[in-house]
Amino acid sequence: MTAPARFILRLGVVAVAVAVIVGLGFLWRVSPAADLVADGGPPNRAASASSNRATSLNPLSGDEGRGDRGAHGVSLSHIDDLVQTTLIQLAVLSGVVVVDRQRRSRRRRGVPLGA
Amino acid sequence: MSRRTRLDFWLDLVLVVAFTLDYSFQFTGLTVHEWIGFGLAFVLVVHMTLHWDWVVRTTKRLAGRRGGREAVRWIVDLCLILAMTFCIASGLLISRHALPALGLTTTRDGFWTGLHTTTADVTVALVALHVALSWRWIVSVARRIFAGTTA
Repeated sequence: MTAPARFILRLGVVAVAVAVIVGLGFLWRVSPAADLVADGGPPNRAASASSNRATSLNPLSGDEGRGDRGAHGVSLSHIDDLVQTTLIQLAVLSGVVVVDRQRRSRRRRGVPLGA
Repeated sequence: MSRRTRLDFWLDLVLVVAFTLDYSFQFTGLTVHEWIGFGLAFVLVVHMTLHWDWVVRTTKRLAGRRGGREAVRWIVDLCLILAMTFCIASGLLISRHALPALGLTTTRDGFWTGLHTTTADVTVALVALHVALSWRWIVSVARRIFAGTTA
């Protein structure tokens, strides 16, 4: 099989895998477990007072919040949001690198990993 | 260094930077957030396609075996595929600018909004973990790429 044909075949497999995951999402939506992630109440149910509050607090919900942010585009005054995301990722990254280096160092010295 | 290694490195870098920007919703604003997410969907599918042989190979190797660094990476990657697919798919479904601009109708369902924010939070940690588990490869390839360009 040629390389482009192999790529297209794998692309098809990945597309099917993605479709299956999205399908699981639709099943999740109609299952009782939808409450675990539902924002503003589960689908097709009248919104309660608490769910209305959750909706208004969420930056992704509500027309006003969405419209405002979309209209302004990139906001340099909110660069702290980008810095915060970068710091979260760097914290996880550093943690794993430190643990990995320690493990490797111990292995080289012949110290058991659990010690 | 092979072209494939260079492609993997730059594509992975684009994915990490794009996701970091996309997660910083207040910085990008909704329109840019949605278009980056839309682009991420395509790049992610290409990324998964390029690494599909690793997925198959590792799955076969791990079948019937337990533990090990590779098993951790496989589990992290599986969770990441699930979380990121849910995140992007739900983001597309609740899109207010990108998809409507293409003439497609979207929804205001609370489930998809909740799924989008929840999986985004999970994905940001998993992306960092995914990158971290390949840090030796990243450092090695970056050294070769940048040593090549400065020499």
